[in-house]
Amino acid sequence: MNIHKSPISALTRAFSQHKKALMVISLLVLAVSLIAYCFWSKQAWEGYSHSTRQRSESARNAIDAALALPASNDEQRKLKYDTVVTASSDITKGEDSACNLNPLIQWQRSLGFLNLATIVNDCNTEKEKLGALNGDLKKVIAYIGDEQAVASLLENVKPKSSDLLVDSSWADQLKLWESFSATIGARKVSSEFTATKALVQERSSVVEAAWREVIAAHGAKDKSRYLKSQTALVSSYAALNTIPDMSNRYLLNLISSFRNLYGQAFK
Amino acid sequence: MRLKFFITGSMILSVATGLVISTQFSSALTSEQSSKIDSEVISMQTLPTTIKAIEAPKLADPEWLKQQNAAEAAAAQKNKEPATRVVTYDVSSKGLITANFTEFKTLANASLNDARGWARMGIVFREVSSGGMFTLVLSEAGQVSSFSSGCGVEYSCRVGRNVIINQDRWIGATASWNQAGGSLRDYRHMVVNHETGHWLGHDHESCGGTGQAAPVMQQQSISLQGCRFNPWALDSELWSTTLGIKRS
Repeated sequence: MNIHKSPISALTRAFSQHKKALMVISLLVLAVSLIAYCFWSKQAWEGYSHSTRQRSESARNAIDAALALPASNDEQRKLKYDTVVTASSDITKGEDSACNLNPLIQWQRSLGFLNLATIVNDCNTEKEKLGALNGDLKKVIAYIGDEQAVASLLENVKPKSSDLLVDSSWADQLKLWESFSATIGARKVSSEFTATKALVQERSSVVEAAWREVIAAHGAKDKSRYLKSQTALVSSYAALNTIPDMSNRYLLNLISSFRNLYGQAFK
Repeated sequence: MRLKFFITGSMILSVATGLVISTQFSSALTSEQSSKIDSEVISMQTLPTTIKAIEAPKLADPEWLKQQNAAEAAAAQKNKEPATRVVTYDVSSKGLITANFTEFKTLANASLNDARGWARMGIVFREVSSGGMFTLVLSEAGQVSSFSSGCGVEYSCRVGRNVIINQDRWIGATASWNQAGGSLRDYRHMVVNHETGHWLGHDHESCGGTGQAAPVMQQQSISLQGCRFNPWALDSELWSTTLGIKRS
């Protein structure tokens, strides 16, 4: 009698006959897979940890290199400033996903005995430190940027030569200062620069008033008033020097804060 | 059971070796590092330099002010002018006079009252016929030494109230003066002013420096000492012990 054997029954019989061998093979495949996963996980964690260090080192190198640039003339100062701005913006690139874990190893954080959560916490701590440092660096950059803008506008009111100014040009001087005051008033500045801006406005209004009085005294041909107004004009220009004094104090406070965070971030 | 142990063991081994433990160090910067950061950041500042360069422009005096100043200066000068003081002198001669005596008197008076000379002290020299405060003498050269042994025949001299002009010098100045290109008229101004200067109370002066105007009390007849000849009293010579006029 020809008995027809089904493939399933043949497989079942073969499995029964080679049950032990198949179990060994399956276990081997499983073991190899697990070992491979373990090695890959190891690599992934090392990479994660390395990228944390790498990010911190890159940020430090970028900031250090930018700050070390020379700034002995206007051109160099501009280049240095732009480089610091770029370094600051580079630090924040990819910041949002900086400490995200690969989903395939994410579950391992819960393996308390491996202490993997520490690596993630370290990454988040570094990220926070860099974020705070960069926040302060941005404040410094914004402040210096505001200062540079004011300095650039002041170039317009700076006397172009040391020649004596004849009376016909005095009204032009007044216009220059009025224009300066208007531009400064309309300019948006960082919150850290607000007080300095107010002082700049106040001092420039004093210079404006002094010019108005010189012109008025000249118009009245009143010698005593004119001489007094000349003295007041000189004083008003001299009083401009209180601006950098105050501005330096504000900037040094910002730098001090930045410096502390720099020390904490790049220990 | 053994497999589970194997897997777990492998994981522990492999993951544990991948752990990086950060070592904590102090976060404080050294003062050197702090200063470095401070100066590196501050170097980007432009405001202090810009403001430092802004100085109040110097204003040219307007025309009306110049006029007022000039008027005030003129008024002040007028007020400052001292009261005119008259110094009288008489004129005489000694020995054989070949020079034009009338011209001598005229020119000598002009020299004494010239606005560039002693008259700047606010004095007017007035010639009187006799009894002057000093006597201006035109003397024959050979007679000059008769006034005093201290006087020679070569040059002019002053003895007491006598202001003696050597006729030879009046006529022909001196060799050194002429060589230096001085005019006879200037020499005459100079010799009258110089000798009168002695009467006013002055001693001899020296040249103040090469190229400068010689003091009138320098012995310019002998040597200019590198100075330019000058017949008139310098500002620094405008004083007189005889008249009680102090140096201003």
